[in-house]
Amino acid sequence: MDNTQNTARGKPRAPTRRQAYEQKARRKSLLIAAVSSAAAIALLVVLVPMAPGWEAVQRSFFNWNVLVKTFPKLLSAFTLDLILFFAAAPAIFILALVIALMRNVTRPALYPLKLFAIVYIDVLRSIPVILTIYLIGFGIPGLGLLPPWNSPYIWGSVALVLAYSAYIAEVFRTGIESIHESQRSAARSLGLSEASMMRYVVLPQAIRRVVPTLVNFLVALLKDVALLSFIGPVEVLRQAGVYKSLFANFTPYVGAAIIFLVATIPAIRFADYLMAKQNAQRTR
Amino acid sequence: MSDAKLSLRNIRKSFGPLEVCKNITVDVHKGELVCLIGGSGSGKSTLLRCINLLDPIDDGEILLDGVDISVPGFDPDPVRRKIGMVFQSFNLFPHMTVLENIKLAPMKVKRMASRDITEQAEALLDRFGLLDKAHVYPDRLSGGQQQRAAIVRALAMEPEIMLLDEVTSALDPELVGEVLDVIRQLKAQGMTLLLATHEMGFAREVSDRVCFLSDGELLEIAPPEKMFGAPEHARTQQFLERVLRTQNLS
Repeated sequence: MDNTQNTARGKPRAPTRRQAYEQKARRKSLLIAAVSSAAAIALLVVLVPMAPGWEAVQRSFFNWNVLVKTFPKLLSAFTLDLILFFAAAPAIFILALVIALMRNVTRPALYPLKLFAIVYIDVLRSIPVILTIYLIGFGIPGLGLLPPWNSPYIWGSVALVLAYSAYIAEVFRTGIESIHESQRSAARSLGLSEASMMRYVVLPQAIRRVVPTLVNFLVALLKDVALLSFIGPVEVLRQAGVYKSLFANFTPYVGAAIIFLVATIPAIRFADYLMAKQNAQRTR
Repeated sequence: MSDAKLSLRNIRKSFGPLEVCKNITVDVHKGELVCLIGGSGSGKSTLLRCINLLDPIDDGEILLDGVDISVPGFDPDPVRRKIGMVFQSFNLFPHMTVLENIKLAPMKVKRMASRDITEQAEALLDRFGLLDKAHVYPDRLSGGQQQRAAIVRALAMEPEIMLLDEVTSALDPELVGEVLDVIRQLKAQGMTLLLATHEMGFAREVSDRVCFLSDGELLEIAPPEKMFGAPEHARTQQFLERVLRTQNLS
């Protein structure tokens, strides 16, 4: 009775039984989560320093002075990672799309393209990325190419592009195949050619659908740029290695890890957000 | 026989061991509205898809203005320009607005200028009460609006025949009327229409002729008064009794 009278006079409505119950449950679960997290962190803080080697580890991995001294240089080395990343990503996107389309070819005359795409994807997906980088990064400059074409920057990036485009071609292919047959029927019934149907109807929807997966792959790519350090380019991991030798201390590696964390976590959250959004749309 | 707009001769179609069209022969004349009725799985949808060359027929002939369009290897695209098709589930392109949906085929297939087709599309949308939805994405429309938009999309190609495949089956009952109104309009304008439908009352009202299909066979062709008044075939009677009993209830 009180409830209805309150709303009639425009006063804030008292919570319903259900709302009150849910509010209480929410508060309780928040409290439990906070307490258990605090306990876990406290345990770590107390227990880890009790390990016999903690002093030594702290000295060689978490040395504040070394971190301060090396961090700016690590950061500037990271710009090379970013440059390689931004050079490779668009190339991967385009190459992967081309390979995925070749993989989907149905016309008999174009069968060699399809065969090439199948072999390309199979081979590059089966070889560890680091091995592809070694083989191409060392192998091709070894042909005796002249500068700048013997640069490990170029061939290392090419190796990354090849390896990643094989994975992403498969992502695109799944996207293309996920578009319902009824969309193709509609496009064909309007007289659109196969090519127009692909370009205007299927691909735009397919690409949209795989965006979250693509973002995840971009995160992986950003980290895998560090693999190029094995064939020469002085990017952040290599720079950290140089400092490790110089200071006889592992802290620069921790510094590099911090840089990667800061760079990738927003992208990971963004991918989560996109995926949640798509799920919400699909269940609507 | 020979003056038929669309002529189906002895159409056969199987999916594996399942025969979905058994020797179907029927003519549709210019400006005529022919309804296909029959239970689900009777072959209505498959027949429509075959006419639009979405599925190839196994045997028989499909003549459009006397030309056999079912010859294996026949280029389907020019045919589809003359035959518009609308589907049960609308099949609008979800990443395009209503107007973009309508403009796509005229621009890419007929190579029309964007401005010309926009004018034409807006006139069509206006005629079917959708002009205010031109820049809206399909997921913001009701089922009835989506289906009307899909009909407009097919009309924008200026087809000579329209195939409508159970276009009201996916709609809430209160939205069926607006789509049926559109079909009445099309008939009034002289469009040649072939539609598969479960709306018996509507079929009775607007059809020039009704075809009853059962298990892939065309059992009976008759004017609506005869089909719904005194059907010849026992299976037709059975089917109509069952369907009309439930439809009268609702």
